[in-house]
Amino acid sequence: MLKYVLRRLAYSLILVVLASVFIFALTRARGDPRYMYLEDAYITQERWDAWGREMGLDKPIVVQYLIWASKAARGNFGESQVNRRDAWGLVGERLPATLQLSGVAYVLVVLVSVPLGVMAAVKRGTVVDLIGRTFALLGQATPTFWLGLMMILLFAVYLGWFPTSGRGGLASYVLPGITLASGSIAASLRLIRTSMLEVLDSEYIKFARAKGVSSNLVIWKHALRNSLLVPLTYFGLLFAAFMTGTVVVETIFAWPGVGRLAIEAVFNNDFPVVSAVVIFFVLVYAVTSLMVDLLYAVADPRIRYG
Amino acid sequence: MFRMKRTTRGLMVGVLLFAFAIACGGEETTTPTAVGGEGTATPPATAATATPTAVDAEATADPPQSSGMANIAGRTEAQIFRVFLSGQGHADALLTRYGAYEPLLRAQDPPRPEWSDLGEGEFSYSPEWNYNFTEGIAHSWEIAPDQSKITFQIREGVPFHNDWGHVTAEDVAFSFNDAISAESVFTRADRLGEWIDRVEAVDEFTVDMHISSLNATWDIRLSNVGDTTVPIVSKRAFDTLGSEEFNVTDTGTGPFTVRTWRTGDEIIMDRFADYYREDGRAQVAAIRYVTMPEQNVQLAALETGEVDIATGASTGLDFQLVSGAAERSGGKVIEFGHPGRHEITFGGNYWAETDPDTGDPLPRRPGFTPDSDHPWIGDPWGDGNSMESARLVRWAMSMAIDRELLNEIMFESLGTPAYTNIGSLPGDEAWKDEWLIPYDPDMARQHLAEAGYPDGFSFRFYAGTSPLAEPIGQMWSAIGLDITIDSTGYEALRPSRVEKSMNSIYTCGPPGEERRTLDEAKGGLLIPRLGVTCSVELPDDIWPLYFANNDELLGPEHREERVQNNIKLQDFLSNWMLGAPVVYSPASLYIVNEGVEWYPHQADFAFFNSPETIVLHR
Repeated sequence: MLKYVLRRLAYSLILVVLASVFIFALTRARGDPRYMYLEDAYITQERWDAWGREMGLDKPIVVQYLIWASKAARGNFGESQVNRRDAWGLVGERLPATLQLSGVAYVLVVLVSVPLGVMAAVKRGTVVDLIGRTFALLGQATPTFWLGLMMILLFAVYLGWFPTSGRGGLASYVLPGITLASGSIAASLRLIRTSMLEVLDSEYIKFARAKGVSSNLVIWKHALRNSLLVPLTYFGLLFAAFMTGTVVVETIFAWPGVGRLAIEAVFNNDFPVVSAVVIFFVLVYAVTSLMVDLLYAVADPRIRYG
Repeated sequence: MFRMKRTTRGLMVGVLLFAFAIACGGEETTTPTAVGGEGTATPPATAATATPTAVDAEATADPPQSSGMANIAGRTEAQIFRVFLSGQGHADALLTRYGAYEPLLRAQDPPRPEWSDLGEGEFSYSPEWNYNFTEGIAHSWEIAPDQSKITFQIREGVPFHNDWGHVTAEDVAFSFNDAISAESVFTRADRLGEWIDRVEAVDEFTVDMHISSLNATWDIRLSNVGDTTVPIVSKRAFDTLGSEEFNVTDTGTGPFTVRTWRTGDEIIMDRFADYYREDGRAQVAAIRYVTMPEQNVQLAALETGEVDIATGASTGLDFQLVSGAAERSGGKVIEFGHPGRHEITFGGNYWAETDPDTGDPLPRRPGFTPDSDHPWIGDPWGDGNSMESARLVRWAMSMAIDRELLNEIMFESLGTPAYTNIGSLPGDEAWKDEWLIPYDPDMARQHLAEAGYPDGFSFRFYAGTSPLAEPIGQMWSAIGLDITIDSTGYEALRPSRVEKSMNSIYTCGPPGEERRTLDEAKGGLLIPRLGVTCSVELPDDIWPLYFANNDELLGPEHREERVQNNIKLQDFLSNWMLGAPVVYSPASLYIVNEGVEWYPHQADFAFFNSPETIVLHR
């Protein structure tokens, strides 16, 4: 098991290093990075040259990368070009908002998709199944930005139940939470339904039923527990997806999270912040997938010895 | 069975508790904010206070003198707070528009029409409002006869926020010298440094601004309606707090003080009771700026009453959306800024040979590619055919655009068709009839044929987010051109514009150069310089016209010469059609909700300003 853990750790480390090379290469893809940063039409040659020295552009490209990477490893991505704040610090400031929104959406996904998925599988071919599948189809086909705007129109403008946007009290979590969760509810519902159907058709379930075990116990204990092995990966990575995929929802709902920071940084050519955000996203994925793999290994011994 | 139920129940309770915990989780103290209320000693960077939300913000607004908190929505964070964050405490000129900071010179408030007389829909003040700058931190000034310095008299008794004392000449000198220093991160430092050498405190309330050159609009540039405005900040605060804390501390003098700030989210400011202009004190108890990137959501928030003013951004809100939203909410639309010119630039015509700054010969620009793939680029160093052929191509494309129709359809006739690059319109003092660009598709086809392209050619039109891209593309298609519209944003194109490798047809804007006065220096983005330009460089006998108007022919006595220089410039541009002017449109639209009054300066930038004039009737 230790060997497996070490191997997975090494993979994660390689992923992060490769990502850092890629991000750094992007800053140099257009040649002189000052072309991207320059904000005004007027700049003197002296300031331009001083800027280059400050950025270490007089050094070989490999040296420039090593300097950048060693600083990045210490959380120093430089200052935001827009507001002169520490780029990594900005990510940290926005993180709680994204964590909270992602958490709400995650809980919604679990609370809705698990029972609905199970019910759709158990009641296969019935109205319940039809409703479940229709819900899944609509949920996956509906663009998030459209759903968000429609929810605002209906529940904020017409009904006045929730605020249109912003992050404040409990009410402000409802619309963005549902919007963020909608697609994933649909996806996980389908996944759980499929997995449950497979398990419900297995011999040991039939045997349990033949033994006279109650239907509820068969479904919720034996079948559900075993059918969750496949969705485990999905649920694990779902949180990472929420953490990194909130750009649209955060923009629509004026949610001050990491996703919106990313899009603002892109529009502002704020490369230190873009670098910090992308590295953050890579770290989230690397850590989450590592955790999922370890959990999987715990749940299924064949993995760790395979 | 019982065990299973208990497990499930436990799981459910756990999930619900988790949901509750994160939903009710404490607000992050991200705030490098915030200053306490009026009259408190400065607690820099520590007092991250509880943050009102869209829902409970109203409840937190206590009305010490007049009522209410005005809620203002913008697409991007109010730039006021750049000042806290910009190294030495200086930042973008625009920050003084949000109420906490003030520059040396302050324009007198515009006249206020009676609210009941405003009528329906759009209203505006005269864009030619004659600024009176004697109301600011400086109350008078004198220009030395040899134009080597300007001596300012500083108003006595102008208090800084948070008990940082009163403004003295030392503070003014510090603010300017720091802004133009070599280490400055003030984004307009070089533009300011072009003409200001240093600022020196002569006595407690007198400063000398030593200048290398005087320009015609120096007073506007230093004021709250200018574009190189320097906020006056407290030197004592800087010396006491050090750079880091100073940058997150409100040390301004404006009518509002900062209460809280959550980056990228919201900013709340309170009325500054000791503001020195008694008749300029804030009408509302507090202002809350909230960042709403999505335009539709801003308008929805207007309808629900969550916000009082939707500000958009520098490019303003969408015309059609605005008119509909104003109608539904009962609000009013305000037009801001000088009309901006939408213009098509024929990039790649880098014709300059000499560097204006050094006098050295310029290398051939990487974007100078006069070949069959770029038929709009002429080669002044090649044979004569190239220049004439490219000129005909550019004229053909310009004549294929129906400017009247675009104005009517796209801007609901609120704009004006544009025919010149210097802002001259039919009938004004500079106008020449030969500058008119007729809409003539047949002639356009003929020009293309004469240029050697009877069947047209293919090209990529970089239109960014211009609303005119699609209709102009269709008009060009109608004369046989094969267009691919590319919506690549300005941010992505900017590097190629800086390194002069841009050689495409694109919208250099929008909007283009503002139409202000006919005598100011024109064509600043068409001269060979380091930095962002419009990918066209005027030849050596033309670009000096810009510098003559900008640096040499200053003062009202040279006005006519400046106008004549601009006419000469336009003659050249009209003949060679290096940029096709299309239409002027209002620079920015703002919506003011029902029951809200606001009297901003409208004639300057298309940015939010004068929050102290907001009045709430509710």
